[in-house]
Amino acid sequence: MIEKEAIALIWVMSIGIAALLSSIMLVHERTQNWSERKIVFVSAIISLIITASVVFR
Amino acid sequence: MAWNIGANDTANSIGTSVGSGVISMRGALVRICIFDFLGAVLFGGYVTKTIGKGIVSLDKIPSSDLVVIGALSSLLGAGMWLTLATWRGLPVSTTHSIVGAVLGFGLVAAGWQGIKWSVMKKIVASWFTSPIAGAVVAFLIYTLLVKRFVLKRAKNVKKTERVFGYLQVATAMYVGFAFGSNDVANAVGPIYMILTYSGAEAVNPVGLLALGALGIILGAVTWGYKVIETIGKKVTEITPTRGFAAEFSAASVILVASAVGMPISTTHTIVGAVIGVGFARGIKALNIGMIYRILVSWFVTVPLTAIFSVAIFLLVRAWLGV
Repeated sequence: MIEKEAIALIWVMSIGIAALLSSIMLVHERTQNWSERKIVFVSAIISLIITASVVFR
Repeated sequence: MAWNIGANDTANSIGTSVGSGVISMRGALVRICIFDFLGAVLFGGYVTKTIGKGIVSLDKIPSSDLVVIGALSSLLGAGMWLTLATWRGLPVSTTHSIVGAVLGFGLVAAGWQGIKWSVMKKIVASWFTSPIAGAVVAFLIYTLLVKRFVLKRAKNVKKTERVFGYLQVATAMYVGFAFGSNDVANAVGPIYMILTYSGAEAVNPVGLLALGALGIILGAVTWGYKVIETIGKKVTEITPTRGFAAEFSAASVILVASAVGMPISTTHTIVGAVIGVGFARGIKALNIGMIYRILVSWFVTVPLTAIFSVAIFLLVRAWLGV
């Protein structure tokens, strides 16, 4: 089922990219004082945009 | 069988989340039930799933009655082992349980030549590749990304753990969704086959999937806590960062393995991943006794389920005079 594979890929890729972005934000001087919710929210949005642009281009 | 799958396999998705304290047992079970159900009903895919990974050539079995009895024996045999393993809090592969049970009845009904040994070889190989792949990837992710890049440099370790807690829960939901879509077929696939072989007029596929999904949820809610505690607390100490590394590694390994057609066990992979993050803190961080018991349970899964299945098959066959 192609839809299932697509959902799996998008989900895992998004989480991986969000984890990388969150890690950077946690150590970068500009963003390290953000609240954890803000860090997670911004990472999630950016990772979804990146994933969507890669998967659906 | 669905109840057993829920009771034993739910820990694969939420064991580390509960173990790290990110989410309560009740909260985790509520969330995972939703995603298990959605995965099972939307993408159950049981129609194309062969029983026991197609390890028995069904055309070599003399009659369709024996196939039906065999399917029933396999379900009961696998279910018996899963109940025993769950009672002891041991995470075992439900797929390998069904494979072992089908292998048992297949040897009796179709003989040595009725077994596709090439399929069996791949399954045996996955006993080693699954946990090793999970452990290596989890070790690398935790050591390189989390420990060296984040934990060493981040000013606020508690905030770091909370951030990874959110990511861990998101990963756990994905694993639950994938588990629901893959494992429901282990329960309802044989039922569908029994109904088809026995000449049932109409089989409602969505109804069967929903029934299987409900069985999985019921198993998770009533008895899932035993294996959840093993994976979450008894192998090594889990924190949100370690839990995320373990869950995400397992999810990635399963995704890649599925894409390249490599047989993989979700249970073996997640346990390997948990061992991997524990090993990143040194061998003393691991509960070797618990790991030993888990490994033994993996090796006895196929022979024990085969024995249970054969015993039930012979009893039912004699009783029915087939």
